[in-house]
Amino acid sequence: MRRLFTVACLCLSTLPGFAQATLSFAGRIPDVQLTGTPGLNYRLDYINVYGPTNAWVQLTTLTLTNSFQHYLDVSAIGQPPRLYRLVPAP
Amino acid sequence: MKKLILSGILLAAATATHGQGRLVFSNLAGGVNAPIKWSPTGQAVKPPFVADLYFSTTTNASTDNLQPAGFNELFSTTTAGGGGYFLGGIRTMTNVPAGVILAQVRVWDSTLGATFEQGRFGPSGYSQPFLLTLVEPPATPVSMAVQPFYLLPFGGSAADRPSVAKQPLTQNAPVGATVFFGVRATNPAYLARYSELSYRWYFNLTNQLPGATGASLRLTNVQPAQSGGYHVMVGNVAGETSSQVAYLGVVDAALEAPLVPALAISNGVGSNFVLQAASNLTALWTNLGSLTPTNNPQLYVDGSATNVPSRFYRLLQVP
Repeated sequence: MRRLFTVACLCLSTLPGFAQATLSFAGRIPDVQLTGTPGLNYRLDYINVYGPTNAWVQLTTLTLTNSFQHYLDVSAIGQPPRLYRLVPAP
Repeated sequence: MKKLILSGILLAAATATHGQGRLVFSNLAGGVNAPIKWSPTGQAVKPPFVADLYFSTTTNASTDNLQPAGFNELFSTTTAGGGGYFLGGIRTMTNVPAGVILAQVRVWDSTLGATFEQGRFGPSGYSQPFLLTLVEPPATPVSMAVQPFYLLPFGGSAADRPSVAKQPLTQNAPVGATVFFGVRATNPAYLARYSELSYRWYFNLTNQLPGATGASLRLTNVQPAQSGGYHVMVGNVAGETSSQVAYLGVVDAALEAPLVPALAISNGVGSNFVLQAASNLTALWTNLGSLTPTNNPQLYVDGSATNVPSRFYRLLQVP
């Protein structure tokens, strides 16, 4: 489903004592949600949907500490869509 | 045709002829007190030795030549001029029972004039005891001279043990699946007809799997606890060879990756902010969190936006 995110920018930079901070939309990133057995080790890989096949890139290795866990792939900003896979690790 | 097949330690048959009666022991130039070694090449030793092969059976054999345990029985000898080997078949083994027989070789230098009958004097050496495994007893009296047989090192050299031609493969499987590991192993060519292969499968190196004694291992309804290493020990009369360890990963994990918005806060390093969100501009603003950027820009990922169709954001500076 297509979602719309709108960022409202309130600029108070003309007032004394206020930072000239701006808020902008950086992009949409994958919230990789892992469900598994706590204590087991996994390797999280991704592959760009546009590109060579079987060119999986290791994103991270992790040990599940909870049966449900998030991994925010901030490295995906500005990148082509990605596919993800979990691989059991020793 | 039934065959008499013996396996043991320290003695070898002449390999080229599949053991047509000649056994060769070897302590070579080390003298009679030197350890007697496995001699696969079948060369004779010097000076001429005389050898006795003693049996001490562990089965209830009541034959002329194989006696109950503890009884030493002269098997065969050659006299001087035998060149340091003795010929099988000098003694006939009759009604030999199946089973494992403990045996030992005694050897002495025949040039010193010692013979078995003359009191066993003179320097002599004994091999380590070794096992003779009778695979199939003969139906009729058998002369060792005409029967192919092998005396092999028990736990002997790697060349005598099985070789693994195809290793078990690492694999992943979902919970509840049926998984197979397989191995293909072969005997040395000269043993192909005489020694069957045995298989013992292990989990995580040390846990032998009960009943897993075939060339393949079948695991049904696998669970995450069965993730780990699997290997098999392939054996023959000469010892065992280990396969490589294959790993099984039982995957019970699920993966989803919805997209969530990422916001960039620029030029705010060191200042304090509250980030708020609202579903529309007339709704109440909800605090997403307080933050003090340390980077420029500072990234903020709104993980709470997974299931919202749209969202407005604003940044409030606070003291």
